[in-house]
Parts: sequence; structure tokens; C-alpha cells
Amino acid sequence: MNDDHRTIVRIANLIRDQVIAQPAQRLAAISADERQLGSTMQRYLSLCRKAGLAVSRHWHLAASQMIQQADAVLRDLRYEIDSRHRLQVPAQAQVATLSDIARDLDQLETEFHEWDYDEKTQDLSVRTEDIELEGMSLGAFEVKLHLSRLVRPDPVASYSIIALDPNPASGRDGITHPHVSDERLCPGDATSPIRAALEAGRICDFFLLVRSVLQTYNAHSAYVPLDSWNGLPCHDCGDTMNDDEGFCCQSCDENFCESCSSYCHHCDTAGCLSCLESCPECEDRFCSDCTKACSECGGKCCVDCLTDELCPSCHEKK
Amino acid sequence: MRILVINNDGSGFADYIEVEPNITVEKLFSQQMAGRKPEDYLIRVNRQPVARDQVLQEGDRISMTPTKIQGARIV
Repeated sequence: MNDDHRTIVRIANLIRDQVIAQPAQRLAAISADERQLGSTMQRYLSLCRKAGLAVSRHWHLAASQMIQQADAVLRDLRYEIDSRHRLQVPAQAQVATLSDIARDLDQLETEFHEWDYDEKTQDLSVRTEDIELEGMSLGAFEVKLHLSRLVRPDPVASYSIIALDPNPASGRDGITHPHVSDERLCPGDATSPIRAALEAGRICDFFLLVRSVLQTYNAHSAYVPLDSWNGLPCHDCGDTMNDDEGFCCQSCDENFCESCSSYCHHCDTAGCLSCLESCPECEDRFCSDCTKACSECGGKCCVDCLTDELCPSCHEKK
Repeated sequence: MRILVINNDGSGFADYIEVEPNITVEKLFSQQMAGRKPEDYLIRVNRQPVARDQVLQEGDRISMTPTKIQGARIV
């Protein structure tokens, strides 16, 4: 615990300087975006003019190409407008005073027992309790706020989430929490309040919001769902395999390990040993689409062994 | 009377509002967060945990932060 008064004042000054500077940073980013937006708009209008000219001269193929290109530029324009909108300068937020920020640091001690400050990296950090989601223990996390880059167009760049006792998803060392990848949190519903808290210098609110996200599991939007956290079980033998090791049978849609799966020799479709049939003639494995009944005897074999819809035995007799 | 309300739910606004004198924390919450349960929030007055029947004073700072917020994954 660091209750050096001078450190508190230094931290408070750093935070306040960053918060006060953010409208200027945002305006610089907006200026760059607007130049790009203008350029893309010019391209779009130029293509529309060319398309119009082509239509008037009955150059239908050229017109069609111009319209397709204009459509592509329109998609770019939509993205750039969205990006510009996200940078919209907000109404002046209630910016924290130095004493507000100092009181926030006091509150951090109450909410998190202690906070740490690294003078060299200018990082302010707190630790959570052990996080357990649906019975899966993920350990405690350190939430590290980088004060030197406190306010960014994308607030996610301002902080890191470090697993202190990692229990990452099987085969995915960077995923230490369903909503944390490579120390970056995807804050989801907390995106706007986190941004608002950082822009106003409400540091304790920021840490509380991040903790609330870490304490919540959203099964619909996780990097790795918790039911696959320790790997997928093979549907046949039950062995655990990593997310990227299994094969999904195209027929029954279940996951199988390498030992319990194979592929169709004709079309290369992956399948389990139950869904893939063995051709009695060549003994290779084939999916149901690549096996057919002999038109003479009705016996099933692969399409490669059939000749004129006859199995080798019936074909030989004929 | 005038108090500062910090709603860390939704867009996360912080603003001064006028409220009736002697309003309790519980009543303010029900007005600001209709339909929500207080037990799902960290409610702090002047940065301190308080009882629900605490009466608010002029200039008080009230923050309300959900204890559970859904994260996502960046696609």
C-alpha cells in the first residue's frame, strides 16, 4: 500500500493533465478522419458521375462496373462515417478536480484493499479477488491503468488485464478469461461507462466497472465458452482435446479426436468412424454421398469402385 | 436540493440534478433506476457505502455501479 501524500498528488496531477488534454487529442483525430472522409466522398461522386455518363452513352457494361465500384466506395464511406461518429466530441463532462482524484484513490483502498503505482511506467493498478465463473476458477486479476495514455479514442488501449494465477483456456494461453484476450478486455456493455469515467477522471469508477465485467460471464460472446474451457471431449472416446485439434463430423455434427475420425477418400469431407462407411471392395472410407448401391445386386460400395453403376463383381459378370 | 448523480449503467452519465429535500438513497435509486434492484448495484454516497434509508444532503455525490456487466469478444 502506498499512501505517500506526494505520490498521490503526482498521480492526481498526471490524471488531471491527461483528462484536460483529451479534447485536443480527440480534435486532432477528428481532423485526420475528416480529410479521409472528404477524399472518399470525392471518389464516390466521381464514380457516380462516370456511371451517369456511361448510361447516357448506352455503355451499359462500363456503367455496371462504375456502379459496382461506387458501391464498394459507399461501404468504405459508411465505415468512415461510423468511425468519425465515435470520435464525436462529447458535451463537457464533469472533470474531476485534484481533490476528487485524491479522494478516488482513497476509495480504491476501500474497494480493493490496496492500489499500486509504478513511477517508472506510470501505471496505477489494483487486484481483484479470485474470479470464479460458473464453477470455473480463473484466479485473481491485476487491472493496470496506463496513466500516460489515459484517454484514447479506443479506451481499451488505456489499460491491461493481467492474470495473476492464470488458468487459460485449453490451447489458448492468451485467453485467461472469457472476455480477456492477450491482456485486453472486451468490455461489452461497459464500453460507454468506462469511456465516460476515464474522460472525467473518475478513476475508482473505472476500476469498479472493469471488475464488474470480470465478474460476469456472457456465454453469447466469449473468446472461449466456459464449457469448452478445458478442451472439447471427443464424442466417441471421451478424451479431452484442444479447441483447434478436434474434427467436426459433417454428418452428425459432433466433435471427434484424431483417432476417432477420418475423411472421405472421394470428397475429403471429415467424418467420424460411425458416419463414414467402409467400401467392401477397396476398404477405404467414404461419406454417404460418395457411396452408392449397385444397380444389379444392391450392394453398397464407393463411387470410385462402381463402373456403369455396377459393383466390380456384377460388372465382371456382365 | 442539488446533488451529483453518477450512473455507471448504460452510457455512464454524471450530472447534477434537483431532488426533493430529505430524499433517501432508496427513493432516489427507484427514481433513477426504475425497474432495477439495488442489490445489483454498488451504491456509494460521497464514496462511502451507505444504508438504503440514509437521507441525502445538499451537494452529496451518489454513484451507482452495476456489480455485473456483460463483456464480449472482439471479432
